[in-house]
Amino acid sequence: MNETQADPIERLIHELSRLPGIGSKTAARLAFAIVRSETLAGDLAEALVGVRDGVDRCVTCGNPSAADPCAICSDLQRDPALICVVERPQDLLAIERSGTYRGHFHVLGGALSPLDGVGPEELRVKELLARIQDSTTEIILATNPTVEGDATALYLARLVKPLGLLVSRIARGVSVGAELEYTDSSTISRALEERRQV
Amino acid sequence: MTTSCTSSCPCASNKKQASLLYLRTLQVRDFRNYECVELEMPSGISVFVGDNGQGKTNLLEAIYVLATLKSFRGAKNSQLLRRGQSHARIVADVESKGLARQLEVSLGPQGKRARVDGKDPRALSGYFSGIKAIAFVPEDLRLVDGPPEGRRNFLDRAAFTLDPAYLDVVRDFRNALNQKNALLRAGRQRRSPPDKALLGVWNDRVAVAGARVIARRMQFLGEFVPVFREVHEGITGAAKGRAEIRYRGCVTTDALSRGLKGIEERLSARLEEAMEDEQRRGFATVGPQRDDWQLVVGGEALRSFGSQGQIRSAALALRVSEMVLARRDLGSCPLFLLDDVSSELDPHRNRQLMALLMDLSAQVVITTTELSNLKIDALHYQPWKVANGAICRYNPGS
Repeated sequence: MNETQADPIERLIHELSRLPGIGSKTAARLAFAIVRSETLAGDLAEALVGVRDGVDRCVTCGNPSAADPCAICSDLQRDPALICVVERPQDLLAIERSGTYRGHFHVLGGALSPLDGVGPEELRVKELLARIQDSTTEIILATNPTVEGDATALYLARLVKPLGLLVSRIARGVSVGAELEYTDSSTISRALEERRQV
Repeated sequence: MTTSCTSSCPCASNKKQASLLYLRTLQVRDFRNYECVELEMPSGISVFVGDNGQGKTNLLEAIYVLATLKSFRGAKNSQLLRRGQSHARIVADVESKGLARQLEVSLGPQGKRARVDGKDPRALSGYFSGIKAIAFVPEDLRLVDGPPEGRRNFLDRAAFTLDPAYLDVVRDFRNALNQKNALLRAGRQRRSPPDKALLGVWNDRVAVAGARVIARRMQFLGEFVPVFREVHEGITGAAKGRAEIRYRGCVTTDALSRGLKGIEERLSARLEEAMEDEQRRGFATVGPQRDDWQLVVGGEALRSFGSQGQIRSAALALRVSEMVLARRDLGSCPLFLLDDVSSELDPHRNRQLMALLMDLSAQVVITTTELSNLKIDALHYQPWKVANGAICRYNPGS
């Protein structure tokens, strides 16, 4: 064996541990499961190559997809007049899982953050403006309720409003099914500030 | 070396009044100039007497580190260790609201570690709920006549003690401000000012979060000032004039009285006005991060017109007021650590202060070079002698 090359199992552990949420122990567990199985390594390798070669971003919404336009953008059952703007593909997935939204999406690829050198040019803002048409009626801003997400939402709102569209921001407050007792105090104070009449 | 109060000692009667929080024992190991010291503390007043450089303040600092995990001298961990040692330990049996707990802080190369009854607390808030201390050190005079940063910190920390949710408010504000500063800095480096629309968005976040910071500070001052006025009069006598705290900053007094919305509107307008100037300078020049407050007695700013004695009484009154508020709102009276009681405070004020502290029925730890500096009856306190890192019971007669 070439001395400069790492041991294959060690290398596998190293590569796996570069993934988010995976520490060295979990990486070792996964690696040995792959080593033990006769088919897993081949299947996995094929799936990985498939992702690399076959998945690109949907040009319209920016979500990773094998087809362009993606399944959501080309779904005729969905209402193209609604565009829900999210920061990342995971956020889109979370909204999809809720099953309540039947409009289109737009993935920005992050939020404004001057500290990290992220400005409007680094996000898919131009693409959003380009896809707004006469038939578009509402833009739903579903960026995260963080300082950065709020700033991004405000930036987009100021940009889009002059076009005569309805611009909305997702509500925030106490989570459904949660008990007030266990809700953190800043969430409670926000929820109280943004209370609604019943 | 241990001591305990007999039933005839006034400390003992204090105990019944429940000085709700007190250190029963204190053990300090390898901290500053102490190798190993074990004390059994009375619930009332302890006085540590010694010449300069013997370790009086170090002992006070050890108690403060135990209570806050910070040094009141801003010392780094490594500076707190005894020369040549890699670890230090401070342990105390603490009684709080009738519950006994052992609190321990160990200091090492990895930083500080806090334990409650030998176990790691799940959250530090669990540790802090067992102990609180307020210290008055000579550096506190700078609260009155020093730079504004110290005054802002005092205000924010005191507000946080009474309302832990304030921490989130400050964090949101810091976050927005840091982002805005990064944008301005980048613009300056590129020699082209940031896009107005983009800067406007961060200004909006700064205004929303900044208004909350200011509103909370005002809310806190609303509670604090009446207490402060009373304490200050107690120490100095009413004849010296009414004490006030004036908040001065990015929004007008008029806007301050109009609540969160009023503050936000005014701050927004101020940020808008400052936009071009901030773009040119490359950093934020307007906002609560630059606000200040000043002490005014009888209509005159102490900072410019106060004598040393007046400044000292005012700074002391700030700390004692913190105690009074904590006692009222948290239901427990923190330990009061009083460093270097000297002749600076005249005998009358000194006597007033001691009366006030006895009223609070707090556990008080005082350091001084001369027992004669204290104007309290010898029956009311336990004296200790500090010499070269060793502490023993002190008998002034012998």
